Amino acid sequence: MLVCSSNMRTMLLRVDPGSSVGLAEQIAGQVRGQVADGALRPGDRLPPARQLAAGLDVNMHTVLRAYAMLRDEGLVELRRGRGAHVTAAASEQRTALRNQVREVVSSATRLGLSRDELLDEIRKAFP
Amino acid sequence: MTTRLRALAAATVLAVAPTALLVVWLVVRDDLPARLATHFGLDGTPSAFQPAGVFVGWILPLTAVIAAAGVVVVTRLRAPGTPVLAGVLGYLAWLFAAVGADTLLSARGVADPGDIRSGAGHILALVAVGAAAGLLVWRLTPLGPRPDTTGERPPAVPVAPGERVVWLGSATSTVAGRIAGALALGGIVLLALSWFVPSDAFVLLALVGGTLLLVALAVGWCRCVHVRVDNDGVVARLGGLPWPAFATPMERIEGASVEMIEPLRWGGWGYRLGPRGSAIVVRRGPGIVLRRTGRSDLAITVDDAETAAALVDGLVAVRR
Repeated sequence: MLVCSSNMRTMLLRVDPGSSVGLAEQIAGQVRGQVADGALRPGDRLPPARQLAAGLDVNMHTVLRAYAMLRDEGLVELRRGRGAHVTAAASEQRTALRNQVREVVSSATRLGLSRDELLDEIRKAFP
Repeated sequence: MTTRLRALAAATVLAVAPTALLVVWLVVRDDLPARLATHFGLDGTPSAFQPAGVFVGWILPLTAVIAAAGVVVVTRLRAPGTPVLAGVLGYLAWLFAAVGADTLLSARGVADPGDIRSGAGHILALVAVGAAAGLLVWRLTPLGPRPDTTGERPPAVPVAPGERVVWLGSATSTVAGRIAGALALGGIVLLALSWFVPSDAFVLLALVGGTLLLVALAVGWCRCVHVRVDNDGVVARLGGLPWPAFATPMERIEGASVEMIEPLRWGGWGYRLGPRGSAIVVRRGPGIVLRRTGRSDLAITVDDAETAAALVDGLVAVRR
């Protein structure tokens, strides 16, 4: 880590050791969320696993497992010695999701659902 | 000491330099040879001479002008760089006064100025006198008024008991990177050139080149800082290297605020022990200032300092 990497975003992550959700899954979920809301953009570098692990007081392999999950989803690319970067595909996935949401909204409009009714449906599916 | 008293004390230190030189000259003027030894070779024997009147005629006014400029700076100027500028002027005034007084005193009662000896130890002692006076003036010169802290504080980041939270951030100075690159290039060029010149010039070129490389290393090292805030405390690393890590445990932190960090106000760039506390500075701009139990403040320049400070406050709150 001799370099001052300029494309590293600041990042806030938290884990709840008491939760039934696995630690790696908690970490991956938050990175996913930050990509989804635009806080992380394609090309951004994720923090070094060692620093994240030290800060969260988890094993470094737990963080690496989270990064591997994200790589398998195509959200992150891992390169030896260069760290983890958000892929260009990450924003495409987000765009794809947005398009699907638009389709859902137009379907709901056809069925005569109000905004709140649609949101209720989404909450039922995504509690 | 009040601001006024400190400014007065700093101005006095500055004013003493030309006055002392004047007094020395008045005391020894009748016991001087016609010419003074003003420059010495590497073996300590004199290599250049000046008539006493000519020597005093330039060194005394020069010392007086520098000291006067210093007095104006400490009494009239209240900018972030004022103490540093005053310190440099104090150093120069005292260096010239010391050189002048030393030249006059060592010639006192000497018939032939060729018999006067001076060496590297002598020069170091004169530089040390100047440096001591410069440091004193720097520490005495009062700072300007504090800059306004950024008014709107984001609310503390909520932290649940048992939860682990980490924030990772950094600050990088592209200017420092470029300066380091230019200095390193200059150092390498001088070192390469030093092979092709005669031996006295070789030593000089190699020394300057080596010094440039060392300075480039120091500047390059201080061009970025990585900051980690977590339940255990705040850790800052200069240069993105694992060492040295400046760690403040959470139990020693009372709170954090966001400030515009003005490097000169905190004593400069890099790791600094300034008048207001310690600071890790790589650029001008926003940073967090930690209030530490039983110690002075610690300032760290970092991007998105608002989130860092808000998390520190959240972590402090959950400890209580």
